[in-house]
Amino acid sequence: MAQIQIIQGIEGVIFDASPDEEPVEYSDQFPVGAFTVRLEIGISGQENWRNDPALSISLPGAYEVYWDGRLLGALGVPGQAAADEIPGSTQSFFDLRADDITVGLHMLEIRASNWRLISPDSAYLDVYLLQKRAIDRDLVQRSATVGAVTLLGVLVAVFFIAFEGTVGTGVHRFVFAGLSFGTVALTMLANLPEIVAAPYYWDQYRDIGIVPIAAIVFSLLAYVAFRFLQVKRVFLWVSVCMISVLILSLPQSFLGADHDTRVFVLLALFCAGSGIWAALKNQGRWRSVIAASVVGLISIQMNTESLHLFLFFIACALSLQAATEYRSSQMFTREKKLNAARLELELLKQSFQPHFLMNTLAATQELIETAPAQASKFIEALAFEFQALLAMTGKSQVTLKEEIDLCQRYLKVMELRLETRLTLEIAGKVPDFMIPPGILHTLLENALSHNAHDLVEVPFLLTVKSTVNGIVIELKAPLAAEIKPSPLSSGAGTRYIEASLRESFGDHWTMEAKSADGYWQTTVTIELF
Amino acid sequence: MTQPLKILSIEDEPIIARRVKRLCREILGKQMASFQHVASLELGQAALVNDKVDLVLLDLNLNGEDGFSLLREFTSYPAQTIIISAYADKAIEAFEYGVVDFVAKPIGKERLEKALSRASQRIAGQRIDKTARFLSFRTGRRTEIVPVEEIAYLKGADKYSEVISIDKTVRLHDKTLSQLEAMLPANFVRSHRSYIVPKERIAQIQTSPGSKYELVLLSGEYLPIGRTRLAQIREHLDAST
Repeated sequence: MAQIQIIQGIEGVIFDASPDEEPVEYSDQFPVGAFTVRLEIGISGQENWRNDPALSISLPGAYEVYWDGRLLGALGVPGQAAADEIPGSTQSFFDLRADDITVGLHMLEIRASNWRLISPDSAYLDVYLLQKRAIDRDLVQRSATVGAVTLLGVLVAVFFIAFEGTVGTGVHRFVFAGLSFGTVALTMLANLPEIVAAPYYWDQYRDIGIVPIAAIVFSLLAYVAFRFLQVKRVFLWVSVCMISVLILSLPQSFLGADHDTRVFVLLALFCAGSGIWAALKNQGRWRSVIAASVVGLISIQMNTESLHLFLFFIACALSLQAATEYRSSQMFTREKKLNAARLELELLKQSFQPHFLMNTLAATQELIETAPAQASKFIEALAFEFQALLAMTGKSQVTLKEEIDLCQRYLKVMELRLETRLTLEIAGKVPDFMIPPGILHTLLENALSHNAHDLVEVPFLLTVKSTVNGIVIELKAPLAAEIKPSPLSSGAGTRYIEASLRESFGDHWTMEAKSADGYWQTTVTIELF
Repeated sequence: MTQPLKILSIEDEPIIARRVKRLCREILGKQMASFQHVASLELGQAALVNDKVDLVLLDLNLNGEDGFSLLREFTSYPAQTIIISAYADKAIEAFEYGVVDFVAKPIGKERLEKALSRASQRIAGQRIDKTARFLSFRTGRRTEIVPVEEIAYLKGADKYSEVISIDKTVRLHDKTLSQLEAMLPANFVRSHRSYIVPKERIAQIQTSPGSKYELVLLSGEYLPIGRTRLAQIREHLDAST
């Protein structure tokens, strides 16, 4: 359990314990209470740091450090009973003199007590023999990292919360704010004890505290990853992911010093796996997820200490992408709203187009001057049509029945205006199907304007057939002999019908017109799914 | 006093057709020689070819390209045209085809009266509007449009007019030279009883022996100048330099 480690980043062999002589003075298991650790340290004389040596010791407990029997320093005061112990911080550095590390064996003795530890599992000992300058450099690096991550993380988190609409509204900004805050907390917990002196027994609470925070941060990361992959039932999958990660990492002493590293590696592998699965189905932003996982894994491989820094960068990169996508989705929504408004206006323009409106007014004018009773009837019919029309504007869809009702009212107006009998016969039962407003009305208007005005009676025939997933609407109008209709006219009416159908049904519709057997026939087919 | 008018109304709405007929009768009285109504453009074209008509009251759905291609066709007939349309915003464009007037629906009696009076003045050669920017020609079954900028000069030929383009193409128009003069823009000068020339096409005025005056065009062609019109032409040319 207690181990001697070699710090990285310093050239040459810095520590050389004789392999034949096992240190016998300490056991694998630290006791809770008072104890002494003795280490034999062999110096080969090749070390290039010998002009500037120091010891770095981490031990959760109060302890005194002796080098070849000489007291180097103490953290707190160890005691034979809990009451005697005065706790100090876990880690410190102890200067050595150049003549302390002559070639040969030396004895490092640590007299310690750890009465305030809850469990012997929290006990450990790290000893580094290294160059004093490296210690200073390490301290500066840690301080800078912690400072930078804290500052950035808090800023980013506050930004997400304060400015709604940066990465979406509601839950998303809290997810990203949580990621940032969580990463800051992890960074501080992992690094602060080595920068700021605190009583050694705080460490165990820190170790316990890291677990839930890490769990939250990792769950949020998993959540973001699954959202990016457009996985259905995100919460279920996050739970499955986290539970399996925890089960897999438990046997590795979950409360150990680098517990979160292992969890992170497993999580990154899990995310990378999900990313590959999504890539095979070409679903969601699998590239981002795989890239983030790979970056995380590489960073851990390079240096476990940089875990939190990379966590932070991954969170930032993911939130940046989420922000970009949110922007474009917002633009899409705005465009949709604009489209709906435009279509509504289009319907009104369509219904009150000059050809209809001005001819109606001209006819009214004549009727008022020559046949006032008829004029009054005409105005009533017109009002009746307008009521139906007004009820429809502002709706993106209406029932077929409402639409047919509008058509009947329209035909009544046209009947009076054209002094021709106009009828609309409906074949079959009208299903409860929703269509954009004004579609049939516009079709009828088109059919009427394509048609013969010398006919005494113009019977229109509307056939509506339900299919499994949709509907077929067919409008037939008699055709005058001398008129050769073009296929679908490119007029405003047809454009309105097409735009509305596209808005409501995407690509799941077709419209065609043809003349056959003296009939002008328009067929609209809507097939969902 | 002008000639009584032979009027053709093309209108597919029966109530509005009745209105047009009633108003015309009220406004023109004895000045209306005949009033014929048809409900479709096809019947209207047949009537224009077969019957002698002075004035067409044309209801045209001008919304879209089709409306204007029909308008081109109708302005190529000898008869003058009044558009009666629901699309008031298309008036300016319609005038470019040389129509006499544009009456927006609904149709007020006073407005129609004004239009009819303009039409009878133009038909009698008393009125000059100069709004046309195109001339329409019927050649066989299709209608050809010539922008006025492409015209070199026009030559009267009895009831018709020959329109000679800058590229020397000669087209026959069904309207008389006087009727065309009333429609064409102000830069077209009546240089002779039988000739109209846009002043940009005139190179110089040349005096021949016997104090005969001739116009030399940019193309090198010579056109005669009416003795009474010389001063007017000079005035025109001076105004432009």
